[in-house]
Amino acid sequence: MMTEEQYAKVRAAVLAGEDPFPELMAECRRSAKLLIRTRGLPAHYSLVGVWSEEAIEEAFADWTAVRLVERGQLKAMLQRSPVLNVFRKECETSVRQHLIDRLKRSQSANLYQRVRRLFQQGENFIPVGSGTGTLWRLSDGPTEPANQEEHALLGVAWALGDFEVIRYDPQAKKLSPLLAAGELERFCRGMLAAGAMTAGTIVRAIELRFAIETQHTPAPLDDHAAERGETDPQLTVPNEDLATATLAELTERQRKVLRGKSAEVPVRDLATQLGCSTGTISHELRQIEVILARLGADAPDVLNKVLDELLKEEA
Amino acid sequence: MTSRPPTDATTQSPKAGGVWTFWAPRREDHLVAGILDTSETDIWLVPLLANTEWAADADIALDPDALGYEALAPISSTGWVLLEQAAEPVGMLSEQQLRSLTDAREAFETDRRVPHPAGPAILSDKDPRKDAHHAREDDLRAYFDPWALLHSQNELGPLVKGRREHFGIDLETWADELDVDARTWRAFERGEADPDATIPAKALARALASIDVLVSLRVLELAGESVRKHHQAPEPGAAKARRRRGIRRALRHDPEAAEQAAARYMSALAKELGL
Repeated sequence: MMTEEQYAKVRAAVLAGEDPFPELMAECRRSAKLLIRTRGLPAHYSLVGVWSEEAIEEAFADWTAVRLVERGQLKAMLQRSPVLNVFRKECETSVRQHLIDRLKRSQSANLYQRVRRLFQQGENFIPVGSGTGTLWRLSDGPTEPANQEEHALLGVAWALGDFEVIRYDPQAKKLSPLLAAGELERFCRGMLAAGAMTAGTIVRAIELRFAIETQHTPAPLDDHAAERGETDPQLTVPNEDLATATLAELTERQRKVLRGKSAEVPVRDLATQLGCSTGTISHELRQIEVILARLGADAPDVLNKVLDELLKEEA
Repeated sequence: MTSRPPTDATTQSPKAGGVWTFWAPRREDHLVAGILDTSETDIWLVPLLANTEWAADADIALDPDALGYEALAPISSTGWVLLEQAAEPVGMLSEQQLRSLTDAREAFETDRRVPHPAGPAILSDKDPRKDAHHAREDDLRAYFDPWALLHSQNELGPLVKGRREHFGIDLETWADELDVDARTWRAFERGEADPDATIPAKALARALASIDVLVSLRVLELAGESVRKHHQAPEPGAAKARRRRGIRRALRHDPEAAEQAAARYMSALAKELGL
């Protein structure tokens, strides 16, 4: 294990432009493994639906290649981390975010088909042209093509407000889609209100709005595990693990907001208590909802365990 | 009192265009930021964030060639920090990058469109980026608070009063502990007394240590200002005659003498604070 002195030396060298030292990468590997093994990380965060040794190694290798090397995040993490303890926390956050991004990509794999099906089968969608270049518009919407520029698309998409994230269902045999049918339809109709678009443009808007990275094609999920008679690992995950995973993912402020919410403290009072704005409280409440839904931790029994733990911490 | 945490000593001093990390009391992590300007005691900076998720039309994207990774400069969140919060240099902005950030800030301040924004404008109250930006501002506040505190007053006494009351410290007890007359201390806190004449630098340093004020050149500046404002020098001449008549000597404000007294007091306080 790295000492504080070693970390200071390696950090200074890497920030000065040297290649990452093997000791530093070993520390990164250790942090990633600890997160996966001890923080109750659910199996659906793994591309193969289980956290085997191989899956952990694959996740570490992918995180290293994409985040640390390709995007230069190692340097960013070192800059923000004057001491080893902070660096470890940064690693943990980065690995978790990487796994969540992969999860979102997996969930969005069939978006194009879903959008096309919605346009073909839904009411009031009018096609203009044919093939992949077909423009779609609403029967009571604008007929002119919408601005295809990414900033314009993203601006319209953000203005549609929040979208409910689908709760992870451990009984399901495969991952839920990114957006439920009703929410996908709301998104599409909102976009088409700005002008006619192709299904591909809508998918691009979804990718931009939900920060779905498209440059890396993830390995397919092991949808056939259940067919082969294997046990879905999620079915055996005890609520304690989900509570652990939830607590590990919540930031300090989100924990306080969740405690306040459970005690029915009004938003304004909570903001005063935490010394922040009411907008910040609203943001954190949304982030908490997303975390709970993604982990499947919003089930009452799991949520109660999370709240029990938070109350214990407070005491 | 909050002092700078130990970092690798560097001979470089922060200047415009530099990319440095900055520390703040009670924050474990450092903030990476680009320096837009500096003064003798302060630094004007723009945070450079690795999280680009909530980009809008008042944010500028920095290519990886600036920092080695893609970063977001939230132009609406430029702010001042104290010079002592600069921890270490980690890079340098090109002239073009620095210009684009300062131009963007100027545009933002004059309600013009920020050139080449990183994200689209927020068009609706429903847009979740609005609240996300509030959260971002609240996160960054920890870095700007020490500067804001030390610039909330233009002399040291009233600032000390505010901090003492914030911590619920009783004036009489505190003055007693500091071995300073309570009336004298009260006058200093009210901005009515010259600390050089009434409060030993050692006592003031002890007081500052207990009210969580960041050790900085700005503290010296404020102490100096307290002296400059309230320093009274005896009227020149006729002292003997006054003494003979039993009259208290007349005092007057002499800017030159006040400046000398301020310099002397700041130097003594700097020594006590380890600056």
